[in-house]
Amino acid sequence: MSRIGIIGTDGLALDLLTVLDDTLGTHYPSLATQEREDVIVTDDPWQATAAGLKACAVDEWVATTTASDFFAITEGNGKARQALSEIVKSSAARPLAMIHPTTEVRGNKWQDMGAVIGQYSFFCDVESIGQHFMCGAFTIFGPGTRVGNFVTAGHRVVCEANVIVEDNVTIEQSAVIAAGTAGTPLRIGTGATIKAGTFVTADVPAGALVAAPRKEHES
Amino acid sequence: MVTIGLIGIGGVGPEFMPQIPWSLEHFNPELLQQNPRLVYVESESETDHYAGHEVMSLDDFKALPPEETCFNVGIADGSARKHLSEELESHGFGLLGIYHSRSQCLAHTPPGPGILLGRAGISVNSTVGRSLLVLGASLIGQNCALGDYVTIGSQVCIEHTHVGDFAQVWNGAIVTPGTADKPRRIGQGAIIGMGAYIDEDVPDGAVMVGNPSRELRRNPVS
Amino acid sequence: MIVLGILGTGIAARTAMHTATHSLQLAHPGTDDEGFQVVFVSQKPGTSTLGGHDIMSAAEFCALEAETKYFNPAIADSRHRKQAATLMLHQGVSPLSLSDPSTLILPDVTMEPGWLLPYLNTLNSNVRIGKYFHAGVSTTVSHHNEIGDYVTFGHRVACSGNAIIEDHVTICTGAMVMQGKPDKPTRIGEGAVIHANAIVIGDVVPGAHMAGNPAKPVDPIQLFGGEPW
Repeated sequence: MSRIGIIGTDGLALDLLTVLDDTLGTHYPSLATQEREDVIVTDDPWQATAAGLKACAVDEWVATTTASDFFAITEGNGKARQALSEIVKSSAARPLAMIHPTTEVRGNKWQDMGAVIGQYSFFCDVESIGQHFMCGAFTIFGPGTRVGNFVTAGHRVVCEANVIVEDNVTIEQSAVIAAGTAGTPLRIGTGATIKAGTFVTADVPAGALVAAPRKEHES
Repeated sequence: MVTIGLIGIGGVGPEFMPQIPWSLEHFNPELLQQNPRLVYVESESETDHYAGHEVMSLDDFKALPPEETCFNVGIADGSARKHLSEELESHGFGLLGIYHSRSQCLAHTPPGPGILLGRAGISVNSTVGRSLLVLGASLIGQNCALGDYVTIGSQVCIEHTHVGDFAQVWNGAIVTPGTADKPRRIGQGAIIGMGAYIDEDVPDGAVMVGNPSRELRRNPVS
Repeated sequence: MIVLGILGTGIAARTAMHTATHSLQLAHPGTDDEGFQVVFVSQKPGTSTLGGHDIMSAAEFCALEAETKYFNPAIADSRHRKQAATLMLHQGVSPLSLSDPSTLILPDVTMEPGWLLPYLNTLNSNVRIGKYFHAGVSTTVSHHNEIGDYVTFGHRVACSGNAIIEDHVTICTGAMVMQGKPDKPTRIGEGAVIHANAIVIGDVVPGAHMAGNPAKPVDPIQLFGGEPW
């Protein structure tokens, strides 16, 4: 029997576990028919138990996994996801792509490296996706897009086409990254943060914070 | 003969009419077996047909036998939904929830009666009240609590947010999430305009527009 | 053999390719998938295949012998789209409209041929749309809208009710047009460009570039790189 552990307390974890049969049926038909046990791996299990799901502590998971087990990390913060991936690296379990069954994936060449993809997203001819990528609902990733490791994208993010998103980038909800061309892709540098609702039309240097004009807070 | 009436032809109603057969099949199969007729209901209509369906006047609709009649109100204004649904329910008509064929309601607490759920998702640990209206491409994410007669437009994704009764969040509004301990609050009867950027709690009755957002006016809350 | 030429090799063309077989089957029910051939057509020299499909020049495509020959100008730039479509019509090739199975078109929608509706597009009742309409993913056109010829919508564009969108208007990703009134619809003038995430709350003069929420006129930007198709 194999176990599937969803690591993290993000609400998406609960949703994904609820529809796990559909997710596996779409993307891993062989796993869907096997006998298996699904658990939420978290040190803070109240949400999972409140939703009637089985929970297990991180240490316990690392100590008890075998090579027939799979995991995905749903933690909204990229750095936290990276830290968790370091912890579970020592276990024998393999990463699994958790693609919500309402998401449409077309003609993609990328390998599953623990990507977690939320509801109603659309991926078309995406070139590559790195380790433990995570995105919210209604995101759109267009042709020629390359996404690095531990990248986080919020709800409704659009990467139109030919965009290179480097490692540890965070794109907040509703931000739009305009299309590059096949010859000169648009590049979002390592560790950059794109704030909510921003429209990015040019390269973003590594570590930069890009935001649309916002209200000045009175304080 | 069973009649299902969708009230309002001007605005959001027609988006839900084509979804009724799927919704009945999955949520009210006993009604589908009776091969119901689907009609639009409008108080003053110039046409007797709209988008392939018969249009009935509200008076004619009220005269139908209550035990064979269900309805929902496809009107964006929550107070209008409350007014009409309470009136028709007092006649004994059934308030019917309508779900889009691509909607996904995972909430453990069942939504209140009369939901109109477009191509949208409701998360496991969220609760929603009576007569919620959600248009397409929206998500009621984790840890949300929505009051009664709330209206959510299309392309709205909320998380860790509590929305008061009669509040309206319009298309493409960006509501930055609160936290598990301190959810974002949108007050009773508040209106968040199209594409407005909300990063603070919204008081009762406030009308917020623009990015960055500003308070356009404050409606009295009854 | 029934041949479809998707004009262009850009983003739109690659997205369009995924809807080609479904659309051909709609036009020719009962025909085997083997009976269809789908190619890209481009004026740019260079690579000869894209995603497993041949790239032909316009001349090669026009000279191709086929039982039935279709084209769809999957070019985001509306001027280039018009030029490409005009060229093909002169050569006697007929337009094929491309839509995905997920497209929802309500009753009482009038559309001129040649559209591209790649995924989850909703067209509400009482809408009129001109030729070679081109939408992104997850767009919504609400009731009582009039959309002109060669109009381009990006992803997740939402066009509320009672609006008139004139010819060659481009509305970029995430932008929205606020609802007009039945007696005074919102009018977006010919060739106007609405930038990403902008919210249009009133009329837009022809050729204007609008950005922000509420949308205000801004300096024009070059869209789509300006390259030929």
